[in-house]
Amino acid sequence: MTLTLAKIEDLAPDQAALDAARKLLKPATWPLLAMDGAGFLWGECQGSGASPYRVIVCEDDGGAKCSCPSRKFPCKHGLALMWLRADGKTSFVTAPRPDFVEEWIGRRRGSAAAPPKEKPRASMEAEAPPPDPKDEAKAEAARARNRAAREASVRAGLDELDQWLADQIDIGLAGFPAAAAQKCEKFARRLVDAKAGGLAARIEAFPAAMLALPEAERAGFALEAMAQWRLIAQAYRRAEKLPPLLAADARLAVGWPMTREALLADPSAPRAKGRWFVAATLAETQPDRLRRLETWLARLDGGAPCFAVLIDFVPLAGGANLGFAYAPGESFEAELAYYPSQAPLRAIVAAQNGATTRDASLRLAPRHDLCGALDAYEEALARAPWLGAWPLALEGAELRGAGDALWLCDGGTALPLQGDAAAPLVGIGPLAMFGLWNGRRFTPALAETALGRWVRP
Amino acid sequence: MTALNPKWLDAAAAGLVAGRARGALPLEELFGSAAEGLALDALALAGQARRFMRPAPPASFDATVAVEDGRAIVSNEARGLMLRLLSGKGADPQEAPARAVAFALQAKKLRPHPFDLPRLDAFARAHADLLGAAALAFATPRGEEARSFFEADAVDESNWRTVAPSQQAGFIARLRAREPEKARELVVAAFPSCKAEARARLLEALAAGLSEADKPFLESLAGDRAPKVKELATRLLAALPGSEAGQKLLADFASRVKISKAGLLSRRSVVKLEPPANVAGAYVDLWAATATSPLPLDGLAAHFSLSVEALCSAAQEDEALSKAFAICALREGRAELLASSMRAAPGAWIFVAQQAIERGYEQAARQFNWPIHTETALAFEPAEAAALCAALLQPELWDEAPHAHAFRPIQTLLGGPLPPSVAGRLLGSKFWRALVAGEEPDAALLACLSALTPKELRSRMRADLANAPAAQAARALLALDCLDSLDAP
Repeated sequence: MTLTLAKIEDLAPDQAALDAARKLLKPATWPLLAMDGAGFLWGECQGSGASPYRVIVCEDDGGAKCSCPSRKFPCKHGLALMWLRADGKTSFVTAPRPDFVEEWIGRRRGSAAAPPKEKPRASMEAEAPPPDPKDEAKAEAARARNRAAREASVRAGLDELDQWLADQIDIGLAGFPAAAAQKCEKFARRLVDAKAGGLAARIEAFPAAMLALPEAERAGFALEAMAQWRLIAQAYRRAEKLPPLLAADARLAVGWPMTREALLADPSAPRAKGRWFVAATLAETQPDRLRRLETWLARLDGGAPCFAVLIDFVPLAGGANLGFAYAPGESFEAELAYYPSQAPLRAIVAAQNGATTRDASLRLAPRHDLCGALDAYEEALARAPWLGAWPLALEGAELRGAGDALWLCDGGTALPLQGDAAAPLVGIGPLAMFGLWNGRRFTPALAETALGRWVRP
Repeated sequence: MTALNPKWLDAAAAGLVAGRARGALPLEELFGSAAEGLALDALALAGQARRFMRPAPPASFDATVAVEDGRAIVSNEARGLMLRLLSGKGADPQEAPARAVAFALQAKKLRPHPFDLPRLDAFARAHADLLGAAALAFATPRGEEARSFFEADAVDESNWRTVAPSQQAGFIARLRAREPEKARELVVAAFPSCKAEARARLLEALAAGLSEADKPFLESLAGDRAPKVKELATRLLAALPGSEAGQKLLADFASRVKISKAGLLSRRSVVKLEPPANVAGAYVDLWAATATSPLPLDGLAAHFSLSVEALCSAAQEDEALSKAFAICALREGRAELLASSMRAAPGAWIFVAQQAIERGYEQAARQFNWPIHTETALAFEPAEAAALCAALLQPELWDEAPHAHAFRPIQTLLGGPLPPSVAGRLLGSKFWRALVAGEEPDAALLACLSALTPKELRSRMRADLANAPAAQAARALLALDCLDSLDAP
């Protein structure tokens, strides 16, 4: 059993949820408490309604599901079920998984315990009418037409982008930062209409990123961002002349979706198996009212690729609950499937083997100094020109202050830091550190120090 | 096109920033052609090339001053509990559990983990003087020189000017109790270089043990620029034994007190306040407290030709006077007198404690927007403070539950938990039993009382809290866990 009270505390969205869960610890509130012996618990909790809420918990990773309408995750019922299990004072009946549990497990990301989809029974196979070849051909033709229409729309959108960029160059980029918010928002909408959503999102997010920089850096930052947009557009148009992975990268950057199923079914998608250390979790609110949750992973057994990022999107309406499945410092054994890219980084968990654990003795063991880590970044940038934030794991660097800014320094190399969250690390000597470098600022996320592990608050 | 040399890049970037329409982008020069589309190529090349440039380090770095902090870092268990108790939305660094943790850290000579300071920001800033050198350095605004940190028992005449203002005042108050002349001399020497807030604090610290020798210094402050300092100096001058101003204040106040005899069999003295006509209602208490604040109880009693005990007894039927005399008793450290007043009016303790212990600072905080500090100008030895607390709190006589804020001055006076005897009486009181048995007890009050519970009674407190609704008791239990973890060896 991996559930502990400490883990439950970590999972709780707030103190109020824990307090509410505490009230549900009376066994009388639970007409059903059961488990399958393979890490899944479920129960029925009598709420104020006529029928009880159905609650499911995965002991291995703390995942939970409840039929209550709460926006908190895990809700008080999920927390209470975990608490009952962690306490060990209440008995759980061992039973086969009921349908609602099976269904949830089947929909979970990367669950090793997910049962294989049942084959249709023979009688059902016999009853199902054979597919009509004409209907199938029609559907395929309709799909092809849609694809072609979208392709044409995207290309038209990219032509508009060229024109828009040319207009900005004509006026000069010196004045662009002052008007970037309106200009980018307006043009991003045109790209959304042109079905180039990925590129639209980049352009829409640009003003906020630019305004976070000092004024002196903004025109240069605009130049670099526009260069990336232009490169994506050109690469998309010349996809057939590019290496397949770079072409696929360009399609993803423009906004062609790739579903989880498609990625898992793609034999060319790179995969990596190993023990993954959760080095950082970052949440960012996007202009489209979605919260982007990034879980950055580093491979502990040193294989390549070394890093991965799991990206989830949750609606802002979900409240303050962030919904990270993993917390920094945890590790798990899993096979990851990477989205096709020249510099593979974004991935999904194809299968997790065993529980997520937190072992304080497991430490990030970087193999580069700051200079070496930057070399690796530049190598990746050369392969994937529109690369965003790139993970740097390094050792031997130290944090120093210069005026209002903090810098990560190693010999003659120094990177300016984003914000001052890492201020407690100043002056405590050389560090082993993990963070993200976006070409302008380094965001420290985790450091191993003589005073213990530092995790970005 | 030739190789992307730095000159090419500079020319292209400068042209792109200035604008093609102004003729600033020399495509012909850059590419050997001015064909349509080359401007976009220049954009892509120049922009992408810049992404490979590493940032130039700053001309110089700040000198790193290592903060030496001799205190031990709290245990990992305590770290987690402190973060839960003291960080996050709604965590008030001035609530009782936060102050109890600060006092416990000071008593145990422990410090928060330096990595937790940003998350404990409000707590660390509010109690920096109690949390060790690293927290003090953290709380010092950027650009300001960090003050030296000394444990309270390590502050002496050689270093007292380098410590935080609150520690300076504490040192002077303690010295005043032992060597009043020496304390005044140090304050006189330091006064010209102190800011207004520090001057007021140092002056407050001289309030105990006033004598004729203090008169020249106090009179010299009549021209001080800070109204607070002037007001304090006037108050202290009036409090000088036998001073002219003091005599006048005493006479003014006495003129508003009517003494008479009551009782049929045994005639006893009764005093009654007749406040000014423009003072009415709840302001009468405040007026009486302010009017008596510079007056010693002995002087008042002598004026009415009564003993101090007889004067307090005579005032028992007048609520405002009774409270005012209790405030004087607390300030003068007369525990027995205070106890008899509180037994006669058990609910008065809240007003008495607030006025006697925190009045000066509360007023200063409101008037000059100063922070509320954790120390008090009353420098009692721990045993004296415990006796005064025992006299002040008569929980077995309380009819209703006080608000959690009411205990703040008590915590200030004690600088730690309640004495075990008082806490035991509190846990055995009717008020406490009714509180925990209530349907929805005040969670802030439960947390406050938990924070004030001494180590030896925490298990009893836990047992009592088990009967309270879990949601209301959660924070109180968390406070107990946190304090226990700090007390663990």
